[in-house]
Amino acid sequence: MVHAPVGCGYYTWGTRRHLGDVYGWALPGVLENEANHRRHCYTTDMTENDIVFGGMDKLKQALLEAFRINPGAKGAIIYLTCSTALIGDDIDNVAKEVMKETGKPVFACSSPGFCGVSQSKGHHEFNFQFYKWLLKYREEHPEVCLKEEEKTLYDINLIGEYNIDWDTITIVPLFEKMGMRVLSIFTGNGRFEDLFKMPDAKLSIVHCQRSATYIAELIKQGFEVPYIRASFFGLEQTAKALRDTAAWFGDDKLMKRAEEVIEEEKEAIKKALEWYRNKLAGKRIAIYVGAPRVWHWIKAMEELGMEVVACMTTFGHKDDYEKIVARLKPGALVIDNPNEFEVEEMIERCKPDLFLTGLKEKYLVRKFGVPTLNSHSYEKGPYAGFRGFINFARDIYQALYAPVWKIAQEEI
Amino acid sequence: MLSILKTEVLPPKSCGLATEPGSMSQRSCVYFGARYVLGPIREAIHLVHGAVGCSYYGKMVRGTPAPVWTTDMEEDDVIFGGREKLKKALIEAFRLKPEAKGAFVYITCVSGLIGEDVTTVAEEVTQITGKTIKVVSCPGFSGFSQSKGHDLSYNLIFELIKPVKKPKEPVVNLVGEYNVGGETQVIKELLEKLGIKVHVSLTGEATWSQIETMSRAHLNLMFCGATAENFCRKMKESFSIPFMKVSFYGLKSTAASLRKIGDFFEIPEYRVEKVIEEGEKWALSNIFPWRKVFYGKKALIVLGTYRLGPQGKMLKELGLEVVAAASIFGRIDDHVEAYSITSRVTDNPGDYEVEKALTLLKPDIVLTNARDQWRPIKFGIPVLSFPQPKERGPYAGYKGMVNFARDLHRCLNAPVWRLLKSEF
Amino acid sequence: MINNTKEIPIEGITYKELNIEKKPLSPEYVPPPEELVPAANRAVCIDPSRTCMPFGAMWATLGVHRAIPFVQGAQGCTTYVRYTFARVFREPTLIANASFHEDAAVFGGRKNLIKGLRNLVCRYQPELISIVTTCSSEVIGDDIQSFLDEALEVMEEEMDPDIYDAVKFVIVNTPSFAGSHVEGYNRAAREFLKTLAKKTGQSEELYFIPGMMMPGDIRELKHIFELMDVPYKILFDISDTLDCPLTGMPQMVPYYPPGGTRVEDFVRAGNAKAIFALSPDAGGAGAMWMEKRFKMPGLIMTMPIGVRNTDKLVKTVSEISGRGIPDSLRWERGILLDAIADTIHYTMGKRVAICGDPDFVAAATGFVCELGMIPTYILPGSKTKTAVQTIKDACAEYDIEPTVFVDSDQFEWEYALKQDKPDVILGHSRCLNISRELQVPLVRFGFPVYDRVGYQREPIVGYRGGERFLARIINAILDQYFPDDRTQQ
Repeated sequence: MVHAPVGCGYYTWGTRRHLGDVYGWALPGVLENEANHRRHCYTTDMTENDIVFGGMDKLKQALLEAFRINPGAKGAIIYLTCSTALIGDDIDNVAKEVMKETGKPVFACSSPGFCGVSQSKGHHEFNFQFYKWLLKYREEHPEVCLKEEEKTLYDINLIGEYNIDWDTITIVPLFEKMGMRVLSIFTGNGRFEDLFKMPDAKLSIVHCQRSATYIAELIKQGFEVPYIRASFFGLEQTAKALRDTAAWFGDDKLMKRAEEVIEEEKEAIKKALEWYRNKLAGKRIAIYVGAPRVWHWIKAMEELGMEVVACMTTFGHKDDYEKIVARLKPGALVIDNPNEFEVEEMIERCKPDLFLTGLKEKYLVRKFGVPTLNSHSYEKGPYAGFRGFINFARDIYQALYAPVWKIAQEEI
Repeated sequence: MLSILKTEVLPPKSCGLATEPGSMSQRSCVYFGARYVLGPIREAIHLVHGAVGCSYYGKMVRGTPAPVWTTDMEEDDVIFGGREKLKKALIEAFRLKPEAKGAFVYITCVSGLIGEDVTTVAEEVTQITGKTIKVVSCPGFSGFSQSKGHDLSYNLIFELIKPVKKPKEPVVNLVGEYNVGGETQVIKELLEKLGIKVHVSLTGEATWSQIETMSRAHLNLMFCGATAENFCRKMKESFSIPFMKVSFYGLKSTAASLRKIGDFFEIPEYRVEKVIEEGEKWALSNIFPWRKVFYGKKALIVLGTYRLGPQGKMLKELGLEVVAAASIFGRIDDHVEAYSITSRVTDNPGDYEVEKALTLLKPDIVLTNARDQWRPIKFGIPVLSFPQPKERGPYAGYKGMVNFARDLHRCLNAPVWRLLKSEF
Repeated sequence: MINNTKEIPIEGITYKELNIEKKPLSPEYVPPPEELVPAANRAVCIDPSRTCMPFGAMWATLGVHRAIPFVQGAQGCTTYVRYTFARVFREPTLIANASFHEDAAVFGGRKNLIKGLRNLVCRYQPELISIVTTCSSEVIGDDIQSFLDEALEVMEEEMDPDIYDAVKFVIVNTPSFAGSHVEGYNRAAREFLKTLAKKTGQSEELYFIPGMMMPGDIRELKHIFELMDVPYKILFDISDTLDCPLTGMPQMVPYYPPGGTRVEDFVRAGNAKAIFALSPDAGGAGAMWMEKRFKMPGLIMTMPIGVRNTDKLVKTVSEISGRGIPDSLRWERGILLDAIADTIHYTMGKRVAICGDPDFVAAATGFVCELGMIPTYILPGSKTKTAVQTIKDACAEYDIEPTVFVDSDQFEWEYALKQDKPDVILGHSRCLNISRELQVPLVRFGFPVYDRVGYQREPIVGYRGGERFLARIINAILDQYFPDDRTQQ
């Protein structure tokens, strides 16, 4: 429920391809959502009157109505936005009231747009606020916790894995093959009921280490569930992630199993990888994504034999940049939060063969005759894991080798 | 040249004459006629012995694709003869399609002109494969119009028929019924209500084996007289199966035909009347809201030949006036029938005559075949084209009457005609 | 070997292989409570078919040569918009932002605006900057005019007094909580003319405000006026800014698209012979203001989709300019009529539901009526002054009474469609779900179409555009209802 004027609600459809497999009904016998990953958008559609007189009543009513229209809904998340924050609507209170009336969990997320320097603050805030709320909710409703008898030795959380273009399909089976159980994923294809169980796991594996290390840290402090950092991009990093996980459990059988899984998966993609590596070796590449993927991908690109000549992030923090610099070859360019001007200058100076970037920049870069890949939502994902990496390589190959770039350089 | 403006009936002599060269006739060739009739017969291989174009165009039969193979004759084949190629092609075809009961080999202009002895090849292949092969001698130049092709196709079909025992329950054949837009199904349903089974529909729904056993029927219902009358007579002589001319176009014709069939099989009158009453009631209730659109509108018909009368009657039943009717490869009987509807009847009009008719007679709608459907539109006159594509559905029976009325309504009432006339 | 490719790139996991099994949220279908279906009875808005005002103002600005919208709000206010532009047009867009953070919320956006404008001018040397406000700056109560004055003083000191001539500034107040993106465009049209237009003489030129038409549509308009030999200017001309060729390697830095309406054309607007708004809800206010201020005819036309609507535009332009209607245009009209006549069997009596921005919807309703289709449920996404009446007038001629959902959301419209299935849906990409659910073909048009390519280049206005639009409709019907080759006649 986006508590905002219509635009903020409208644009909830405008985020990335975080896909899910739960669908509502359209009509008897017809499951909704064949096409879009987020079928409906709920918003309070704040108008002038609401802004003047406050929107709390409207929010409450809207929430109750939304629950009546969607009896299958397991809970709600309210988002506070610029205007509703500025007029001072107390959404926490509304959430409490609605929770009481409906008996369903309602989480109020204070996320006005002007808060913080970038979306990173939103990740951060959600982590803290959600954890705080989660703690309280678990105390009040112990039934949502994982029961003692249901626990297994190898329960893990995947934290900061957002299931972009079904990345989880390539990641989760790896752990399952090793004999582990993925208890919950924060928040790719996630469920409220699974998120409640996060603190009951044995180990958290943090993938996006910018947006979600916070909650892993909090769970560690609160429940003594340790976490390890991992990356699932590229063969070596994915293999390392599996090895690290097995090593943490310290179980010989598990470690052996991990090696088997790695061997098996590597064998399956060997031929394809070789083919692509031959095609891609020596190409110069520039990367501009959120934050952690930049340094995740430096290694992955090296595995494909490519050279990373420039790195940029939208919302990277100091530790991100330290990692980036450590992994880059000397002479490469690193920019924080580049604007279009800087991107253009980077292209002139570094002359990359390929630019890994998001939707907004990719059309600009193309005007300079440089191929791009949508790296936020992917072109034809998933890109993570072993087999996803072949998708990644394939898309890079297709971008680089499209005849259009050659034709564009020709004069008539 | 024939003039459409002659109000008296044209002397019967003038029908079926050769086309004046350069008169932009809509007539087609003999091969076309043969494909029209034989095309949809299943369990058979259709092999066109000729250059590639003939089979390419022969693929579409009455708006529906029908499989057709070809020997694809090229320069060498024309010079040195294509017999070997034909033989090889036939044997290959039977190997590729072993379920085929037999084959039709179409002789086209080129193979006819070089004097290919197709019959011998057919005999040779029959000896090798044991399958019946019928040679369709239909070079395009061998007749004035497709009509010749129809005749010769029915002769071939007749040759396939074997004497068989007759069943107890009443069984009929539909002859000259071409299943345009699913009409066979509608007719079958109507006859089923009277307890009559349909054995085969020539050639709307026909297989090789159904044709072989078609002498089991008690009665042949003749639809298109132009193509099938001779065939029906021969059936009567050889297998003593009587035939009866029927039509399911329009409410009156449908009722009359049902009664005639009922009489033949001595079906109790009340059963027949019930079917008629139910059908008419349903159809009229559907057509009623549109009647204002039809009343007093003028129609011009330019169709093959058999449809002139039936379609004209349907138009009249809906309240339209038929200002003139023209056939493409006319036959006397059909013209006589058409004359009962309108006093202006002619055969084989060229484009010039059609355009003249459009400007002089100013019809509100034109019924014509698909080849020429776009011409009247340029004169701002809507067209209902035949054979109607599948999605418009059958025009036969009660269901067909409603479909026909609906399509007429769509044509006449389309806002585009208003926009056309609006000042600019 | 069937194909001669020496090496076939090996696939990873293909889209098909993903094959995600669907899980229903609830075991059974639960219909929504009847009383909550009409949007008027609800506080919650489900699936709005419109977005907020700043979007429209930015759209208008992007149609001006070397112009940059400066959004006085938080960063999301530009990120989301740039996503949307990128999706629809597949083009880069230059949009600047004031980067509101907590301090701005507390102390106001003065510092952000002054610094932002200064940086923008230094770095990008634009010819025009439009300052687009948002919900936050309006709630905070930023006094944009005085901030701007201050910013100009700062820039004058630092750079040169030339700044006053070099860069024009237009303030567009677009509080997100009022109106919709259509209204945002409308306001921008008025503010641009209000700020820039001067009267220095009299010219023969006709001015046109196209509204939120696509680049292809604007090109079609130009084509019509060129055929008519009318001197014209199209304001907010996105046709060469949001649809640009891949050429001129290496590109100049910073990248500006080559086209767009020149600032001096806005300045000279006061001299125009007449000004046309081709979308009553998007641009009408601009034309009305010009009529009041410079006493020129301000004509508000229905968008020229379909025969009648285009006829009306062509006739009016011909009357005002004194130029005749050329035969070439009559020819195009004839082609369109011919195309309609050729396809009446597919369109007549087909029931069609329409959804989109009011100007598009109102004009398209007229067009589908001309095709003999029956509009059933119509959703103009935002509040509108004229669209409902236009729809009623168009339908009255054909004796049709469609249900028009005023001030409603897509949920209500979709619910009506579920109860009473149409044969075709005309709408934007957000109607894809309902079209899949109902197994009804979707004909995409208007804003936004992001899930198919090329729609922004293909015109739907004018006679030629009408012919393309008709083909789109017919092909959608053919694909869905007659997918085999039996449509061969």
